[in-house]
Amino acid sequence: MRIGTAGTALGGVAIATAYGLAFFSGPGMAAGGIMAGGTVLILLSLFWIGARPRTGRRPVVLVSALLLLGILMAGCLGAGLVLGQEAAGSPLLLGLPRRAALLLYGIGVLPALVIPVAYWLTFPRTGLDPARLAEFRRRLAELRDEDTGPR
Amino acid sequence: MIPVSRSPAIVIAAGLYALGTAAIAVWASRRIRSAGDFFVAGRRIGPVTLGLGSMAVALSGFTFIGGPGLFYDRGFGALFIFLPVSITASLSACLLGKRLSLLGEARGLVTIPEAIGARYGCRTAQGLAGVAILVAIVGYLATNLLALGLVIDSLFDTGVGPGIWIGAAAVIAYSISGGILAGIYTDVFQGLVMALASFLVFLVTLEVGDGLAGMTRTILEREPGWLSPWGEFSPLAAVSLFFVFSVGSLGQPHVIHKFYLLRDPLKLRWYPLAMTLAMIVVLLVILGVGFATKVLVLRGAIPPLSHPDEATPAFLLRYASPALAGVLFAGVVAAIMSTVNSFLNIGAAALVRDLPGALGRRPHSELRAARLATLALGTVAAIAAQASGTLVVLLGVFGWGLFAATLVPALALGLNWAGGTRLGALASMGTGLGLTLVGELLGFLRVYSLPDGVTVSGAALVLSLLVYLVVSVLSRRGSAPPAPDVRLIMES
Repeated sequence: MRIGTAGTALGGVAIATAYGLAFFSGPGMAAGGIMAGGTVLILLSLFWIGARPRTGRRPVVLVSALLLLGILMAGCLGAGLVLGQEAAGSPLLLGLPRRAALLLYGIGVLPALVIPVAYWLTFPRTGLDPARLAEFRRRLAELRDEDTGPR
Repeated sequence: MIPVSRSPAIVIAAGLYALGTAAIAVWASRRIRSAGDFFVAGRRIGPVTLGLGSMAVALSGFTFIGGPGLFYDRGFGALFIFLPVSITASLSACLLGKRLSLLGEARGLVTIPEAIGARYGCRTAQGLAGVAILVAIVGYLATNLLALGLVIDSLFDTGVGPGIWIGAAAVIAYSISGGILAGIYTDVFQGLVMALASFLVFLVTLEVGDGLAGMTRTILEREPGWLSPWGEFSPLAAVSLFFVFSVGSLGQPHVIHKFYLLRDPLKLRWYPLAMTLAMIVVLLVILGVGFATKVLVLRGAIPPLSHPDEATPAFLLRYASPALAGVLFAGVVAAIMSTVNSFLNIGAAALVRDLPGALGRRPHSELRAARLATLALGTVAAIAAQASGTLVVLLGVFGWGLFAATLVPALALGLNWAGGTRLGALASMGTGLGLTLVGELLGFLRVYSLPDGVTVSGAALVLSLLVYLVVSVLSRRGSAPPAPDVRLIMES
């Protein structure tokens, strides 16, 4: 949890800094880069917070998927900022100019294939399984009994 | 007026769509027995229904008209609004799905403000969330009803005013009679219509434009900046859109409220797969129509558009068969109606449960009060849509940002982080609500303008997140812990 909340706070500070920079020096590459870094950090941190198993460490599949998501988002946004403008005759990547392709497929498509599948695979550990749900219901019933029982 | 050919095929498609919706509404209305049926469909919805229904309410008419128009007008950067769909369903399932589903089961909750009230044991927080939802909903409803009136006028030549009332009457009727139960099943039907229409139109755009590579070559020869990663936006503005539409998705009550409807929390496992796939298929229409229309204008096959919103009708009139155009316009109507129904339902819940709940009251008959509230909200929104004043436009524009800045920290972080405090929640909600209302109003009145790339919604969202974290840490000592059952849910 500490990693998650610290990451959310750091990401938030980065985004606020990017907005602040725009007031002084306009929406330049630096502001865009800091905004991208902050957004990636805040999203990964939120996933980290939400995908907390009740006991033990987070599943390797989930951590790997989040790592891949971070690399994809940071890499593709970074490439968009750093690589040069394409022109007529530039090679295409899956029908699009290199930078647009990296962003569309790297951020808009690949994570859609990876993250929901990782969520599905790790749901019994980070979400619920029948035993955990039954235990939740048993403990909830106990709490209700304590509430309504003799005092 | 949206330029639509009134061919028999389009009118027949619209008529068939209306009949299908009406049949589902009548079927559902016979199954409404209680306020629980009305607001959370008796908690008996499966995961695929949930995914398709959530997609239908998340995507409004903007997806079919405004979205392709924005892409046509501003280039690739506009897609940063839609790129987050690859992760938003998983993100909301991770942070909110299990917690809201279990809260609904444990406490019988039916609204998002009730979840905030339960988490912090605070009626004021619940009331504040209810107020934020109502403020944003009236504008959202009015702009959607206005769009519905425009489409009905284009199809049946009714005039915009009567079109608004015809559309409003239809949605209000099935929302009153069938509540969210009618809503969720019509949403599934509407979602399928939207997906079918989008996919077919996308195939046509590829054929007309000589494939993605053919369209790209035309753009690179004549206007390469349009396909640069940020289009007509600055990098800061484009990534800021990504931030607001990814993190902000955690605060959209009409979508996340659907987690209460799930019959079996174990089925939540399927939600991200179903929702993400459905969203991507429907959003193909934006990529296809926006891209193809731009290319066809550059090639001289279509005259330059006088307004970006004409992109979809201009493309369909020239290149889609009347039957396909009819399916797509049914998809537009479906997208608008599903969103309106969902907003009417959560707005009625705010009026019947959240605001009275904040004052410690409950109506005698919740079902009757819910139906009256739905009628009242729909009527007010239709009147506002007909007035079509600047205030309506303003309210419609900032709804997403208002929901995000007000609800995301207290709800998404709060249900997962035991360190969040009541004071932190109140401070962040006040920050989000106040900054968004004041900032958008001052900007709208042209009292000031923010630098390029900085938006009120983005700034309000990030500041409300930071305020929540900082105030919670500072007020941790002496702060009351969550109630035992809420604590159990947060630890499960």
